[in-house]
Amino acid sequence: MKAIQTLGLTKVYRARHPACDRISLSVNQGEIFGLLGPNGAGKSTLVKMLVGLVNPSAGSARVLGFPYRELAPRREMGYLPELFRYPPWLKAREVLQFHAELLGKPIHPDERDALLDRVGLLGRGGERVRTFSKGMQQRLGLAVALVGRPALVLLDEPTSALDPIGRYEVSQLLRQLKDEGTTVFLNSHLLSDVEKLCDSVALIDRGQVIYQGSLKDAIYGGVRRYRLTIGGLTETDWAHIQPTLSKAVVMIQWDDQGHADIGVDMRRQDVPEFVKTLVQEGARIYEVAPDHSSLEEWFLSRLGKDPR
Amino acid sequence: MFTVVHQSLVETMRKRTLVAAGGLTFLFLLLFFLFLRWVGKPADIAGSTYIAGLTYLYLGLFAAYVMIALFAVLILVASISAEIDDGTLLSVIPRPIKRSRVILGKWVGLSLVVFVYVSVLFWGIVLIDQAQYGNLAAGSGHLLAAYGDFLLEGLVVATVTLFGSTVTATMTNGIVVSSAVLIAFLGGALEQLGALTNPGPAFSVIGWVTSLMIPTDALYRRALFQLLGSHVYPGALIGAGPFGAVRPPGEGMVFYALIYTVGMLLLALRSFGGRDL
Repeated sequence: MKAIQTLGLTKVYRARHPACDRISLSVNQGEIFGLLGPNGAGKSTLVKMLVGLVNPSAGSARVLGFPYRELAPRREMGYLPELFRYPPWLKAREVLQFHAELLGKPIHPDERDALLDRVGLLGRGGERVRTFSKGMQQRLGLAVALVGRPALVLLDEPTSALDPIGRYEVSQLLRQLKDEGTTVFLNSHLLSDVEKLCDSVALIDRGQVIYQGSLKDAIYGGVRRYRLTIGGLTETDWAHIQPTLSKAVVMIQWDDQGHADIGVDMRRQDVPEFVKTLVQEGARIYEVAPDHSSLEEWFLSRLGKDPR
Repeated sequence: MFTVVHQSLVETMRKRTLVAAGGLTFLFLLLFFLFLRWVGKPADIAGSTYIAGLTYLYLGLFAAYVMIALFAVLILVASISAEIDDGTLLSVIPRPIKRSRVILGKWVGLSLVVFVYVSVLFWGIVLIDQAQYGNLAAGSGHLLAAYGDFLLEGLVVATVTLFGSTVTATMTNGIVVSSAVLIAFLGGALEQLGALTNPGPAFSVIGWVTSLMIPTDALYRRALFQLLGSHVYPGALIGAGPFGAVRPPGEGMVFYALIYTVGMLLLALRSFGGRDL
């Protein structure tokens, strides 16, 4: 059973260009799934359809095996909206209590404190939401999404208001959730977070899915630019070697110590052979690294933007 | 649904809406009491105490009519629209609760608050007037009927405002419902004026139409007639002119108000049920 399975899910607002156009994708249970796309691509609309905030124009979906418009999947689902607010007159622990009551799953004070601890708000449960900073509200939102130990959590930009420490803590939390078997559906613009955390991704542009698959396939499946720092060769040596290389060197910069930074476009599996050839020709390899953040490069290239 | 009812009541208390409204209502009742005590003393003429009692009761009920409508609008005007705008509902709707339960929970919770307000205001005015001028001639049946009319007025305004909150922005909703209540009052005033001066049906038609739009004025004048009508003191309301209830609405208007309330509630359920958030 898939955690999420959509089939042709479509949303058209007032006969304009569809916000979501026949979106079919699936999310495996227990994985961290990243939903990517530029602003206005339809990501939030898709998430909102899955949680019942937006009515679809066409298509269907199943969430945790249930038809997604039924109430049943929502008993096992937590959701953190992108733009949200909790009633400012409530205390943090009352917000959790309220959501536990909506779920029909009573929450014990110890469990409530454990949840607050998990998101870094231990000891703040008695404070009113109105006194919370934006980052603290986002942490509280995460705690709310985890009320009732959901099997699936959908997080819409969960770290947008957090500082680097907060982002790190949330990353750790999401890994813990995965270890516990929770499926995490992550909608985020922070590609570095997605790259570190996700098992699979879907890329949406103009309401349509243009890629869905594993993150590794996305990053390593195609040709990318690698930057190598080499030494042990003179420019004259290089002029002799270059025609024998299997890959075209698209960029080279020499420094005063006889080192060179070179750029080569190739697939990941071609890297060892290329390095081996250089070593056989007498080069010393100091560094081999992707030229850009892998996912960012892939993201930009799939959207028709030159990452270089 | 009871979670939402409870939450609505907690919200009212925490936002100090009820405390503020209660404080101001107490102030109003205190001033009303002081006015009757020191200013509203009748002349030493036979029957003048009785007339003074009815006159000041009429003034008090008119104030109550306006205050109830305003209170019901203010307490419900942001109930849905503002929570959509600020994102409060975005975390509630994905929970396993039907949207209709959210609407019904808000309606029940906030209507209870309106009922408390109506009760304090209505009985406060009646009892102060009674304490000052003695027993009213209207029997307890008429008194309860008038109380029921005021409760229904609060419920009608509350339900219309809730419906408005599901379809339009907070400020627009407040302006539209307040204006509708005012228009209904003016329509009712024209109808009464027609009853006093003009035998033609045009004024009556205007009153009916505005009462069909929102039956608040009809309920108010019906309540007024229950307490001050000719069965209590012949001609008591003639002196009130267009602000009186010479031609009171019949029981049909009460049934219409009930149907109207149910209809508005159904419209609220329907519009919120299909709305994208």
